[in-house]
Amino acid sequence: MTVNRRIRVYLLEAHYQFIDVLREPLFSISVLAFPLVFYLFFGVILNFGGTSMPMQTYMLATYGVFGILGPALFNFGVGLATERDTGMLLLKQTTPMPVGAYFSAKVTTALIFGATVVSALFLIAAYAAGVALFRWQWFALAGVLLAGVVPFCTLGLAIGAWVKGRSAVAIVNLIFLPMSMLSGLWIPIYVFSDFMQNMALVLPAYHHAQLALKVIGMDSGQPILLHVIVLVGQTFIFLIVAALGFRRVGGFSIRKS
Amino acid sequence: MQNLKRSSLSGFGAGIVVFIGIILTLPVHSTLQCPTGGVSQGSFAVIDVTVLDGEVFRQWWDVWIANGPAWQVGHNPDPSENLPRLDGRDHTLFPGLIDAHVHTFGTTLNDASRFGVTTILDRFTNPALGAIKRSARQYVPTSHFDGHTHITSR
Repeated sequence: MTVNRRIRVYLLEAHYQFIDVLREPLFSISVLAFPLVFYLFFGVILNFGGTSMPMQTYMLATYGVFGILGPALFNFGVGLATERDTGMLLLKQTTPMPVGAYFSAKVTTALIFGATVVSALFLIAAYAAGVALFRWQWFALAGVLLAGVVPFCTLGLAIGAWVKGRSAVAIVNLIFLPMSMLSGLWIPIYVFSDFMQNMALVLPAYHHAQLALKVIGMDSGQPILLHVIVLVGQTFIFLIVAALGFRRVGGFSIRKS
Repeated sequence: MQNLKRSSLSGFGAGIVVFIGIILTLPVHSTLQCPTGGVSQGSFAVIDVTVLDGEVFRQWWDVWIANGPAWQVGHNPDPSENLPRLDGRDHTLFPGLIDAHVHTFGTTLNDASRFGVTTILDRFTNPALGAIKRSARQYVPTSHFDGHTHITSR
């Protein structure tokens, strides 16, 4: 397959997967609205920190992570499990499409949804909550948040590779909601007991949130390298778990075309 | 099919442009206005103001504020011609006050700057809150003149 043709296949798969997700408005609306409504409630309306304790800014970073986590987990975890159960995945495997196009389309879709959530959060934070950052902070925060799509997509991939379509939503929710809470995405991590704070150290969302908080100078003070190493390490672990899951169900065959 | 590829590419490109455009419209620190408005942050001069130097009230002094802190104080320090000038008559300037025993909660820190307190020692605070409060420093204008008090941070 020529490079030009390969690019076209990648683009078309991303295009159609995005349209496929858009055709499920309940998914799109919930994934987009969930973090925005939460931020509006906890960051703007119930702003217990006041302007002297810029909780709006703190929560902009953590709800940004929350907004990235949702589409990545649900699109990959639930989407993959459902498509495998319905036979759509098998159908795609019978086509000459490279397997990378399928995954890259899912990542792209998660990225588009993530970027939409981040844009909306930024606008609400800036114009409803009065958050002002330096220009480089806005861009760095957006970059760090969007980079979180990679580890979260691999986590979704690992889930999708192991669970069946019917149970996928429940399993993803079982991971998504507690991880968001324990990582300090809804309320600041320091509110929790030491035991719970230590527990957060194993959660990818905690490390991603700390990187986002580092941009605005509100992190817990651990080194950037620690968070990056943990996230990269977990990404590889999730990939291995996903590969084992696919091997179990006789999943993807890698084509050389 | 070629058209679809082109429209996908242009769709992605437009999305990226919109995303960057949104970020460029967001407010940044340099465009923040003074709470009272009308007085620029950074460099300006207050003319004919009463200055408390810690012991004595000195009348009809001029104070030259350069990028936040007071740069020159006295009679006719000859600030740059380009500096915005504020009429300081009937007003008093004094150094930021230190409140050495404070328990902050909620929005109490807002009140500090209103009363000319620029340094506080917070007691019995959860250390984890320190990071947030330290970062709150950047939200205090580096220089603030509201007609009654003048505050320069740090």
